[in-house]
This record gives sequence, structure tokens and C-alpha cells, in this order.
Amino acid sequence: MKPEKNKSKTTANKPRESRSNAVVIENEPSAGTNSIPVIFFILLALGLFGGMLYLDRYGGGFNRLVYSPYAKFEDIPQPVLGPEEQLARKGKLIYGNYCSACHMANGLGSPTAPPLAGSEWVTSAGHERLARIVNGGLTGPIKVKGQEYNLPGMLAWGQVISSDEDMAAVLTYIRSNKDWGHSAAAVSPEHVKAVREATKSRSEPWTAKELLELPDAAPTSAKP
Amino acid sequence: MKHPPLIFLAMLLIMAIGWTSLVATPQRQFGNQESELQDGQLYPVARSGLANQGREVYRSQGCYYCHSQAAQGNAADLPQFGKRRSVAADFLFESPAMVGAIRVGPDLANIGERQKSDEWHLLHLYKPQLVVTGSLMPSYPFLFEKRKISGGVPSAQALNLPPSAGLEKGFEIIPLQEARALVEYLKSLRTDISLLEAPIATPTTNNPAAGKVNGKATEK
Amino acid sequence: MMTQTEEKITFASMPQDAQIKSALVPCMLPLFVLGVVSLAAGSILALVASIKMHAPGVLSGFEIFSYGRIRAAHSILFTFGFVVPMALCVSYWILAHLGKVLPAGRPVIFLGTVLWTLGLLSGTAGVLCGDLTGFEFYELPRYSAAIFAISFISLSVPAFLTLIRRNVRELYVAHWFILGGLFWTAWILCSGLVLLGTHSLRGVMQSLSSFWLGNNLTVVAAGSFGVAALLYFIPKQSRRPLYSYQLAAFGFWMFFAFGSGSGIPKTAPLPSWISGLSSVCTGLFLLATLSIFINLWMTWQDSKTSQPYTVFFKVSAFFMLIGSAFSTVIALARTGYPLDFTFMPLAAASFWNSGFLGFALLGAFYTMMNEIAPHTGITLRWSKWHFWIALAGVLLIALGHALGGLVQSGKLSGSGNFSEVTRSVVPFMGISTLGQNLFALGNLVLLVCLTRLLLQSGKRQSAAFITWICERRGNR
Repeated sequence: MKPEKNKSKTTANKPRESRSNAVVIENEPSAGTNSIPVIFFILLALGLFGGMLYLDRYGGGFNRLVYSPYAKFEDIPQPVLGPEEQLARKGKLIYGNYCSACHMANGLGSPTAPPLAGSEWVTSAGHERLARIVNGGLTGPIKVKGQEYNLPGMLAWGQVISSDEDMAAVLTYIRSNKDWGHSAAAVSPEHVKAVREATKSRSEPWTAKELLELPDAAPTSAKP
Repeated sequence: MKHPPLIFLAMLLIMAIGWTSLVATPQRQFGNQESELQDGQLYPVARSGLANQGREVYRSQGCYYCHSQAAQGNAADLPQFGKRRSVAADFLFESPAMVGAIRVGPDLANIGERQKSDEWHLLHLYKPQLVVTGSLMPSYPFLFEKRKISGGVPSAQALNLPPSAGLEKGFEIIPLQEARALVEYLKSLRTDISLLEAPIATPTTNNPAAGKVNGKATEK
Repeated sequence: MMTQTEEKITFASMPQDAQIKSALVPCMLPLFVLGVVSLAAGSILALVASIKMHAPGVLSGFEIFSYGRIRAAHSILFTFGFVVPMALCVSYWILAHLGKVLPAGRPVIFLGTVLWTLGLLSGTAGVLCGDLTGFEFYELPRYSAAIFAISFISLSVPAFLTLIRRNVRELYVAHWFILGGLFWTAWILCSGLVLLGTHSLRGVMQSLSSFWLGNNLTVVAAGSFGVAALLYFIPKQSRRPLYSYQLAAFGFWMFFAFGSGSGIPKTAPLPSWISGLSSVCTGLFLLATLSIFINLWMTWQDSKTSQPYTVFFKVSAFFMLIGSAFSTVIALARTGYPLDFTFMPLAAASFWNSGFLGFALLGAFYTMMNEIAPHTGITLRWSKWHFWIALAGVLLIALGHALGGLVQSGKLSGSGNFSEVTRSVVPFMGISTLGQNLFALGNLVLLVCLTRLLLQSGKRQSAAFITWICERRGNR
């Protein structure tokens, strides 16, 4: 910087110069002719390079789904779901489509449906009774959680939820819903198929009395 | 550098570059997002009407000058403020999106999951020092109405104030519509759904802090 | 190349300094009054807000004094009431003096001032009544934004006309910054109205736009007016040419190119590339402010004279550098608790707004008022008081916020209990409030100074008017 400082000192003794032969106004500032110190260009280059490195680490590849602290899309951990969890997730959607209108999303029931949350019918060891209710419908009084419900009745959803996998999904969901405090065993599509086979000749809805006469043992395996 | 029109053109170019890279490109990337299927359900969903009214109260009181709604999802934030990071999808139905830039008060992105009690929220709004000792939050008594107890029977809506609140005998505090709406809005602020871009850490990961809220492991 | 005689002739035909000054006075005085009153009122609101931070019970029963509303009102009064009007005064002054031309379109300027005042009053009243926008950095109700957009056009077109009609065609470095500032402010006011006022953006895009626009307004647009003031007044008062034209050009391009990208916090719920890019721009912006600072420093180092108001500008240059450095550290630091959520950004904002912009515009105010009313000596006396009080004030505000921010960051990194940590920061908020007290006091000093000047001038004007009346009567 020293040579440049001397330069401006010597110009103080000469008539004031400005750039490009222009007029210098008395009492008004003008721009001096010192050249820019090279350090600034070096700093700029370093800054740009450093910025590039910074963006490599923190830029997330300019991907709209990458948020800090992940550096790139492949770093985002995907939760590992077991097959039962996947089934329950699907069941949640189906529940929302068909069942929540009467049983409510919180499972507490409504004037047209008894509660599912905490219900012993849902969390029973075996799925035979529950699968029959959903597949074939229910009529007449039913006792849930110590309370008697005498409601118009539940439709048979076997035709609407025609796929075994869908039916298994919704049954798994209501049996294992953590928000309701349930953790009963899942129901597999094969189980559902077996129930449908066993009940295909029946067309009337079930009554609670009939269902209670059925055995309620837990299935010994995932397949019937 | 001698000709104003050239300087103006250069300014225009710089402005265009800045605007394109930081406003137009993000708009293309996620400005027209729609609700997507995440974690087995549609996310996000629009809030109820009362919660939307509550958002207007939140805006009008300037709550965002002390509270952020941007959980960071890092080791410091996870135990206190929520199960995952706040992302763009969380604000899809927010207008205005009051992200906030400072935490004088705790982050509110997941307050609906942390604090589900209406009573707590109403008491806190009426006088924060009643439920949080030494709180720096100002009280909002104008969201409530103080009236005489009529007929000797306190209203069902009246707040259960402790004696330290200093309310005279024979008076009760009733929350106004603004207070109720604001509480509904606060209860609707949740980030408990796992997203593709911000998964909620499950116990299967190796990170010991992941998936824990208040020390208890969360299960999915 | 013109000969000496030709230059002299041309100069003689241009308006003289005294003429230019007296032509500027009617358009600048209303803006001065607006600026000074807004600054004083805004700093009182900031003081109340600062008190509420550690004594939340103060004024908490009144909805109109709700903390958020006061903060919003302060930001409108400071940015739109003080910074922009004073920046426009500085622009008119510089353009007229360097161009050796009378300011153009003065009735339009007056009309613009009236509209701007309307916008300011409606905006402040609006936010105090609860019409906040929801964006911390772009707090401007829609109706107010519309009025500001129109009145800014009305205030800036005369500036462009003055530039076009300049007699001295040479452009000085300050011209570039003034042009940039005028264009940027006009753009931000108009696009802010469209993007945010009409709710055409959805979700977090609104938040992103508000960060971008707000930063461009305070750092780039207002900052460029501040830099223009420094680049004009420091060489002028040091009686030296600016150290380097080339360095100024470098600083100019860096300032706008990288300033326009900065300001998006990394804590926002946005994909990480956006804040990453913004942080890099903030870092390179520091290089811009450094280059401007070095340029000015080398200029005043060389100076043999000292003028009473140069100290405002020198301190302002330091604050510009410090504020930019703070912002860089906050933006780039990726370890520990994010500094963005602590009080550190408030410290950086204090340095930039009250420190850099405040001191530059205040120095300009005192200098210009002194040249308009040189014989009163009022500006000299009051400006000394104001300088020291305001300097102490700004340093304490920033210190309080910075220390508080560091303490917060340190404690929260260890997942401390949030409320306990916030409470432990209270003593630092007290320091900051002390600073706000002093700053507000300094602004009241400024208000008194302006009032005395106006009264003096009013006395002289009315005396002159009465003399004129008597003479006319005598002649009859």
C-alpha cells in the first residue's frame, strides 16, 4: 500500500485530477486514481471458491426435498416399515374412507355406531368375530365395554371392501392403532379369505349372540 | 460507469438474477405444491374455520415477533420442540405463513402435540406467569372478559384461576372468541406426521436422540 | 478536452452553490421534519419494546401496546419514516450539487412528501390497530404499501430528472449508489405490493419473499443511500479525493450483486440450497463493505483538516463493517445452536440500522442543515451532544443483544430448559434497554435542534417578511 499512499500525497500538490479529463468542481468530492489493491481480487476468488465448497456441503444439491441437516437426498433416512405396519397404514386410509363416518376418526363412536377404541371386540385374541362383523354386517343389540348398544345396525362391507388385502388392512389398523391404545395381532389377507370362504353362503347380518358362540382363539399361524 | 442508462441496465440484470435465483426458482420448485399422501394420510389438510380465525389473532397480536414456527429437527430441538423439522409442506395452507425469525419464546411448530389442554392455553394467554414461572411473555387480558358472576353460579366457561391471580371475589374471567380461536389455532399446529423430506426418526435408527420426546421413545 | 477559459465560462453559467441550496430547502425541509419526528417517535417505541422484553407486565393491559405491534410500528417509522425520506434528501442534495443544477420538479417532490406522510400515518396506525402482515421483515399493510409505491415514484422521478438535466456530465461514484438505491427501493415497494399484498404466493413462499424483500430494502437499498452519503461527505469534508475510483467500482458491483442474495436465515423451513446460497452471498457482501470501508478509511487517513460532522460518517463506516461482519458470522456458522434464533441478529441489525444508516443520515442531516443555516451555530452545539449520546446508545444496544445472544446460544446447545435460558438473558436485555434510552434521548436532542433551527429560521423569515411588507407600505 505504501507506493500508492505516496501517489496520493504527490497529487495533493498538483491541480486536482480526476478521471477521463473531466471537470473537477470546487468544494465537491472527486474520485482518486489509485488502483485497486490486488488483495481484493484474491479475496473475491477465495470467497467464490469457499462459497462453492460451502454450497457443496450445505446446498443439498439444489433439491427441493433436501432440508438441513441432510447433505443430499440419499442421506434422508427412510423409516423401515414391517409388512404389518404397511398394512396398517393402508388400513388407515380405508378406515377414513368407509368407517370413520360412523365410528369417527378417534374411534369413539357416534349415535350410529359403538366405539372401537378400547373395544374388546376389536382387540380380541382371534379375528374370527371381528372379520365376520365387517364382512357380513351386524344387527341387534351388542355389549361393548360393559355398555349395551341397541343401534340400527351395521352394513355388510364385504362387497364394498372386496379385496382381501384391503379388508385385512382395515382390520389390522383398528386392531393395532396406537392412538387408541391397541396392540392386537394383525390380520393377514389369507385369514380374511378363509373367513369369506367360511361365510359365503350366509347373507343376513350377524347378531352378537351368534358371534359370541364362535370360538375366539388366536390363530396359530399367519396362514389359516 | 459513465452512462446512467448502462448502469440502470446492469442494475436491472443484477436484480433479475437475484430475483430469479431466490424467488422465481423456489416458486417453481415448491410454490405450487399440493397435498400429498404422506405416512398413510393426506398432508397437509386445511385447518378448521375456528383455527383459521385463530391464525388471524396470532397475526394481529404479532406473536411471530417472539415465537418461531420452524422446528429444526436437530439434537437441540428434538427433545423440546417436536418430532421432526418444519418443512415447506407444513405451511401450504397458511396465509400468511408466520415462520418467525427469533425464539424469545419456545418454538410453536408442534405445540398442538405437546400441549393439548385448552385450559392450559387459556390460562397461559391470560397471564403466562401463572403456568410458567418467571415467563417473559406479556399477558393478554384483552382477549378475555372480566364480569361479575351472575346468580352466584360461575359460568362453565370461566377460567379456573389460582388465588395468586389476584381476581376479586365475585368476578370471573371468560375467554372471548379471539382467545378460543387462538387456542384452536395453537392446537392445530402439529408436525407429528412423518414426511419423505423430514422423516420422524424411528427407534430403528442408531441416533440415541432420535425418536425420543421427553425421554420416552416414540413408537410408530 | 475543455480549456481553462471554457471551463470557467461554463461554470459561471451554472447555478451557484447558494442558489442550489436555497432551491433545495423547500423540498428538503418537510422531509427533514418527517424524518426527525419519525426517528424520535420510533425510538420511543423501540424503548418501550425493549422494556417489555425484560418487564413483560409493563403496558400489557393495552392491546394497542402489544409487543408485536410496537415492534412493527417501530420498524415502519424507522425505515419508512426516517431512513427513506432522509435518504431522498441526501440524494437530492448530492445530485444537485454534483450536477451543478437546480433540483427539478419541486412541486412533485412536495406532493410526494404529502403522500408519503399519508402512507406513513396509515401504516403506523394500521399496525397499532392490529393490521400486521405476518412478516417480520416486511411489515407494511397493503394500503400503506400502495401509497408508498405511488409516492416513491413521485419522489424519485424528480431525482432522475435532476440527474438527466445535470450541467456537469461527469458521474461521481456516489451517483451510482444513488441510482442503484432509487431503482432498488422502487422495485421493492412495487414488487412487495404485488407479491405479498395480493397474496398471490402460497405458503412458505410468502415467508421467503418477505425475507428477500426486507433484506433488500434495509441492507441493499437503504445501505446504498448510506454508502452514497459516506462516499460524498467523507472525501468532501476531508478535502481529499476518494482514495480509489476502481475500488469504489469494485465495491459497487459486489454490493449489489451479493447484497441482493443475502438475508435468508438458515433456520427457515426452506430447502437447504436457498439458505446456503444466501449465506454465501452474505459472506461475499462482507467483501463489498470491506472494500468500501478501506476506500473511505484511506481517504480520511490522508486528511489534514477535520470538520465537526465528519466523525458521524467515520463512525458510520465502522458500523457498516461491523454490522456486515456480524451478519456474516450468523449466516455462515453451522455449529452449535443456530445463532439466527438468538438475539445476535438483533445486534447485527442495530449495528446496521441505528449504527450505519442512523449515523450516516444524521451526519448528513447536520451537515446539510449547517450549510443551509450556517451562522446559527445551533447544529454544532447540539450535534456534539447527539453524537456522544447516540454512540453510547447504539453500542449498548448492540452489546446487550450480542452478549445475550451468545449466552443463549451457549446454553441452548446443551439442550437446556428453554424458559430458564431465556430468563438468564434478562440482564443483557437490561443493558440493551439502557442503550435504547440513550439512543431515544439522542433523537430527542435532534428534535430539539431541528425545532430551534426552524424557529430561528421562522423568526428570520417572518422578520424579513414584515420588513418587506413595511417597505411596500412605505413605498406607497
